[in-house]
Amino acid sequence: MQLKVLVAEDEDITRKHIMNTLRAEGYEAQGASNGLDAFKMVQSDGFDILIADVKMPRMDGMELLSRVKEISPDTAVIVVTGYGSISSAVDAMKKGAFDYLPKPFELDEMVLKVNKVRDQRMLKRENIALRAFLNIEKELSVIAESEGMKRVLEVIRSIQDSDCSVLLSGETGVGKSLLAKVIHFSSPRREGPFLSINCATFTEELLASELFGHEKGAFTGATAQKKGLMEIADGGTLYLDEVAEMPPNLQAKLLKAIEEKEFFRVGGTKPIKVDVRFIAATNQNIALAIARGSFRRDLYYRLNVMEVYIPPLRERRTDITPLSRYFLAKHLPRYRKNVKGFTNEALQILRNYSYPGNVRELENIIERAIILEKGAYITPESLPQMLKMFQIETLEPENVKPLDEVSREYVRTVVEMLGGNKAEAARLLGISRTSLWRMLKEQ
Amino acid sequence: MSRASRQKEILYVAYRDESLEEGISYALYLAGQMDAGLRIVLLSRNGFGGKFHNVMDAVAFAEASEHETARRMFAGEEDGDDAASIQSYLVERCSREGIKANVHIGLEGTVSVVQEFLKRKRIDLVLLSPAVTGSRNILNRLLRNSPRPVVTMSRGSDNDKMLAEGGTHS
Repeated sequence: MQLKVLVAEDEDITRKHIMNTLRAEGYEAQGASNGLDAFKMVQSDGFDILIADVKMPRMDGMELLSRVKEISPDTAVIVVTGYGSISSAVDAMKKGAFDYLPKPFELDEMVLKVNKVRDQRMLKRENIALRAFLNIEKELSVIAESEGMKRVLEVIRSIQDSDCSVLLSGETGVGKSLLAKVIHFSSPRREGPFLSINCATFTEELLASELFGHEKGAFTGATAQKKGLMEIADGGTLYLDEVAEMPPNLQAKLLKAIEEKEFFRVGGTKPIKVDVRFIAATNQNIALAIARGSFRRDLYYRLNVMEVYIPPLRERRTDITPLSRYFLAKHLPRYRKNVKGFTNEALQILRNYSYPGNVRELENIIERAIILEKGAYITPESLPQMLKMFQIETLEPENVKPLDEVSREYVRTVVEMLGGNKAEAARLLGISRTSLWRMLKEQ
Repeated sequence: MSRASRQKEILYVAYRDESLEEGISYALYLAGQMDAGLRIVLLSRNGFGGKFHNVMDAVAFAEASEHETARRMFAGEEDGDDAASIQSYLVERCSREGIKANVHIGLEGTVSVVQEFLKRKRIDLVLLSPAVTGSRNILNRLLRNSPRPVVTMSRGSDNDKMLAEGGTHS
């Protein structure tokens, strides 16, 4: 993890000594000869650590500390105080400085303080990564009850030590972004950043700027240099949601960046080397997009070293009950309600519905039910009227089945759900037992 | 450079002579759930484009400078069926629910209109009204040709029967 350090010091020799020492220690060091320049550099480039002399022209170290804390609270500021001044050291600490260095100081002492920042950062990142991973593991143990999801998790576990690109496919709301996080936090890159971008949300120019960054003056409105997500994600993972929506020109640039592990900022002439893992996701039939010519085949092969298909919720109905209970437990604390669970009728309605909006829709339904429910159990009255008014089916064009077959499969699912109780199934389906027997017998 | 945030979009297909309120309520619910906009296309049950004599009638009115009548005929409007008022009602109904909507009048047959929309617009999901769902032939043809999931609605879910039963907890 290479941290960026800015040394704000008006004495040229001192500044260069500090910078050289830090570079030798493995830090990326830059310098500024006055407070105002240092502030502008923090604003445009972002730094992990700022070493600021109290006495500087154009903006003193104390003002620089205050202003940097406003725009970049995560930047650790080490203030260099003059002439053993305890009062300015105390003042600096009150204003949010990480530490202070009284003049004159030894370079070793300065390195120790900078290393302290680095160690603290690493510990924080490890904690965040570990917490995120544990939370996700907990969530997944609930989500993955069905065979379909268990298979998905097996694939994910099989690649946890690998660094390959992954393509997640599945309908809107199935949990692709959650799985992308699982892949990241269970990989060797877990302490690196996890960044995501939705490729369908931006115009081509903006998407290019978000991904690759831009140089000052690259286009109207580019008033300062900006780092792109590819650069910020260095050492970590970049999640490209709805990748099939990416314009063709950008697909070519992305392909080049993946192949060569370097890219140019928009308007830039200097190549920037990065080490990023890509996880892409799509809710489209990407084979169709390739056939239509809207998605590059070569980029598809680059992103699709491992493809993971996440089945829609209607194909893993055994997940509906545990997921409902999980979402109830998740949202209950926010509403201070005394809801203990679901009535069987409410669960039956939830299991019968086909969820075009997938897991996200189920979560919304449960949250709404918590708000509406006045009793101790979620009843059908707290569920959306729509679920009771209509029989909703979501059909996938790629594997079209005749309606009769769909009906037969539905009947089989209901019988299975009721543990083989055909009489109860016939009653629920509103058909005679004879009709049910006939449907089950048909091939 | 301006930011163009693309919202998801549901294509809701209905017939103009069916009870619109029934299906639109679910379409609005689903759009809300998916944080999507609605593109509503209202069709004539028999389509217009295939009927040669209808076209000739409309052309005759147009040639006689009866443009409004010709437009109404092309839109397949029958007496008392004002497409413009249905359109504005639906737009208003959707905006009341906070859902962005575009309403179109389809002149061709159901399958060709839906295919055209899927070709030209970025549609995430096709939702068929109860009446369109009820037409098996159309449904099968739509499924054969749609690159996106198709959601069907049929009236009177089995849940109603179940609700009449006594309640137990889980």
